[in-house]
Amino acid sequence: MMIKIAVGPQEINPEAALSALRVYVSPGAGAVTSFTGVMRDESGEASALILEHYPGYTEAEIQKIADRASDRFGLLGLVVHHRIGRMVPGEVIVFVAAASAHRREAFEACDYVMDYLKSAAPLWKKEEGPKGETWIEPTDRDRSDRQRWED
Amino acid sequence: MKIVFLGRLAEQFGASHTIEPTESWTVAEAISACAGDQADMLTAPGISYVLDHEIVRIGTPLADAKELAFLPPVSGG
Repeated sequence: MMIKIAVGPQEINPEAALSALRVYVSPGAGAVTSFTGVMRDESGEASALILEHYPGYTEAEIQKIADRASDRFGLLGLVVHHRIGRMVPGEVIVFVAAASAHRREAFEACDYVMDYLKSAAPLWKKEEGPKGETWIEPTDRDRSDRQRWED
Repeated sequence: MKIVFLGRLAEQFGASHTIEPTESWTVAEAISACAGDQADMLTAPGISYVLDHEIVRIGTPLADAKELAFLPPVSGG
């Protein structure tokens, strides 16, 4: 079992991370799924995004989310890369990949990890837009998405 | 002791400070020392206190911890 967490300002390379996981879990894993979160441009409203973290603590909290996902879904491998710092539309913000024996667990693990990253990971997000900078807080949708795993 | 402010709180209070707590201090006394008449920003709903990387309450003693952080509600990734 491998869990790899990376939080940093460098660009994320989803293809390389996915390929490394696939090699690591071969040939026991029958399923490798991934999710790539890309900064989108909502009709020109946000020109850039700035993500801040609390060094050490953020990584440890993401590790806890990953550990819970690994236990819950019986994963063979899990990779979580999160970008911080300033990024612009089209750039990758987050990458999650999960490997398991069968497909359902790998699909659900990516979904689970993303729901917790969006609503519980210690990250603070600021949008740079035409009207200046705005701090973003989780939406009701983010909270209800997470609630699906707690009912 | 190092005090760390994250997110929008860093813009308000500065990213980090040093305070010299006495033995009896809890998070509440640290808030008074750091924020003065803006203490209500640090006692507002949604603000978390993290003492040496563990979530604590406002009444938790600082003891000999090295770092206290004030976290606004997280934004998620």
